[in-house]
Parts: sequence; C-alpha cells; structure tokens
Amino acid sequence: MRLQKLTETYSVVILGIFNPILFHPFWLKDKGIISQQDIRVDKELKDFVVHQQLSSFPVGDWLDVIVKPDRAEFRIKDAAKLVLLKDLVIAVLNALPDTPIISFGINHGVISTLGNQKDYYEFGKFLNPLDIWQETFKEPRLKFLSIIDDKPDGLFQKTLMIQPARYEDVEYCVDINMNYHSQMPEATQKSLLAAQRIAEHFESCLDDYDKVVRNLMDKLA
Amino acid sequence: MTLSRILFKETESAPFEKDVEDIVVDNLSFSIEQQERSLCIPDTTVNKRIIISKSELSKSTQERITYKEVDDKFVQWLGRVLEVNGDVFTARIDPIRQRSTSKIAKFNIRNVIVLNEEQMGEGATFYWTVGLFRNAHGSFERRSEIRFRFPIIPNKQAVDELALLKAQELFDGIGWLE
Repeated sequence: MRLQKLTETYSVVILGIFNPILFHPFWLKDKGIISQQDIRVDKELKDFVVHQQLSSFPVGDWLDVIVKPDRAEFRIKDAAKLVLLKDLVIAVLNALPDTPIISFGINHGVISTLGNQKDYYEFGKFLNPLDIWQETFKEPRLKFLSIIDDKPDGLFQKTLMIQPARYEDVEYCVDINMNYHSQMPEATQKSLLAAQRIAEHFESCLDDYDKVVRNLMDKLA
Repeated sequence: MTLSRILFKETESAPFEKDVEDIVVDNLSFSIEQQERSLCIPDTTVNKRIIISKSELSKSTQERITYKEVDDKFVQWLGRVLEVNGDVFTARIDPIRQRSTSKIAKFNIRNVIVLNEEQMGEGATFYWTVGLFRNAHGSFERRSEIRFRFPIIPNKQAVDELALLKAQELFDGIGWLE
C-alpha cells in the first residue's frame, strides 16, 4: 500500500471581523505587501470578485485570497511559497491593527492516490477496523476520519481529517488534512498578537504535520 | 528592537567566522543528481560546484525524498544584501529549514530571475529558492529565483500595543505570593 501525492495546499484561515471590500490587490500593493508584478487584473480572470460580502482574487501565480465578513483565507499550493505566505499574512494583520481576531488556523492538506480499489479499501480498513460492522452493514467502508488533540503542546489544538477526495480524473484519492487551531484570548483579540503567534509557530506546525505523515507512512509500510 | 524583528524572528544568529563561507553565485543553473540525491549548483567563477547533500536538506525534505519521489525538491535561503555594485550584489545567505551553513554570496542580477527588484538595496532581505518544482501541468521544472521582501513598517500605536500585550503576558506569568 503506497500513497502517491498528487497535489497539496497550505493555508492560513483567520476568523474575525473583516470588511471584504477593503481587500483588493491594489490595497495590498498600496500597503507595500505585494508588488505590481503580483497584481492580476486581466480580463480573462474568472475568479476575481471584490464585493461587500466577498472578495476573492489571485495574487500573482502563487496565492489565492478569499475574504468574507467573518473569515479571511490565504492559500498556496507551492511549498516554496510558504515563506511568502507567512510574510504576507503577518503583513496583512500588521496593516489592520484594530481588527478583532477571534482565532486562526494553519492548514496543510495533501491529496494522494492509493492507485487501486483494493488498496483504497484497505487504507480505510487500516485507519479504522471495519470488521466490527460486518454483521450490521453489507459493505462497511470508512467515509471520514477525524482525530483531535485536546491536549496539545503550546497554543494550538490540532485536528487531522482524512476523507475520500477527487483530483482531476485520478481515482482512489484521499485527502489528508491537518488543522492547527489557535484561539485568541478574549481580552486580547488583537491582530498583532495573532501575527506574533503565526510568526513564532508557523514552521513548528508544518514540522508537526511532517511528523504525523511520517508516522502514518511508517505504520503503512 | 523593531516590530518587524519581533514578528519575523529572522535568522539573525551571530555569524561565526567558521560558519561563513565566501562563494560566488554567478550562474544559477543547477542539476538534481538522482544517484546522490543532492542539489548541485555550478559555481562558474571558481570552477567548482556547491553540493548540498541529502544530509544538509531539512528533515522533512529528506523524508519527502524517501517516501514520495514525486515531491518538490528545493532549498531556500534568506538573504540580506550587504553591498550593491552595479549589476552585482553581495549578500549574506542563511538556510531556511535545511541544515547548512551561512554563506556570503555574490549575485549577478543579469543571470538570475529577480522579483520585486525595486526593493533591492543595502540591507534589503530576499528569499533565494533553487529546486525542482511541479508546474501547473503537473510536470517538473527547474527553477531558481530571488524574491525581495517588502519591509514591514509598523506604526507607533502597533508597537506600543504589542509591547503592552507582552508586558501583560509577563505580568500574568508571575506567581505572586499571597
């Protein structure tokens, strides 16, 4: 049984109170967060929305920004851009010092394929024993697995989610997604404190994901 | 200490002389040697190659090479420009998430892909990324690029607020005797 990676995403999701219409590539440029080269306003661009309830646009060819009144998400697919993602999120939070931030999450998701039906089923069975359901289900299969760590080290609660996924025309795919969630203390829901936490813990969250996946791979082998 | 230093915690460890090597990075073409599993960057100026062995790659990158042959393979440095002289600039480069030593390197901007070039100047910081990357079509391509960072210039209110928050955090951490 072997997982072959197809694609991955990294994102930082911030929950707070935002004004989506503020988030525009020119605002980011004006604040010195992105360069002119990163602004894409070509007419062919289909994913460009800037509205009071939703802003969604790409930055260069490396970042997607999606902002709603209660949520801001910054997402990349290229691991080499992680350093830029971190810089950008910190700079955005720094540019909004009075914005209340309730919590934020650092996420890493990987879509892989098992390659064939047998291994796909065995992978689910490996993660969660299905034999106990044989008497009451005709063909029990694992649909979704979520593991939460309520007693993490430090400031982050981590949640692992594994579920079936789709990726182009490749079959037997699974999505292994980890969320590192940090709740801001009520008295200090400041964007700067969130920025500082991200600055200090961003890499350690990613290192932890690697440990979790390595452990899973070791068990699979 | 400025807010940007507090926030970024840049790789500002003291440059021990023994850890700093003088290199000239004039030609950024490179190759991945599958047999050695190492990145090789030809250094045309001194006719030698800088070899980043597998052991120098970050643990996570090593694991990826071991477990998933199809994964990205790259190394990355954080650079700080020390001197600009025409088309050539000298910088101190520190490894990011890989085991390697700090180096003093010279870059010729005519030979490298430079993004945000307008930020270039003495003291400017940049990321230098070299490796194999998957493109939008799913195939791998070699890439080497320098991207200058934008400085964060915090306002006074922001610095004051963060200082107060940290002070409160320290105060709350003190175990006062009744």
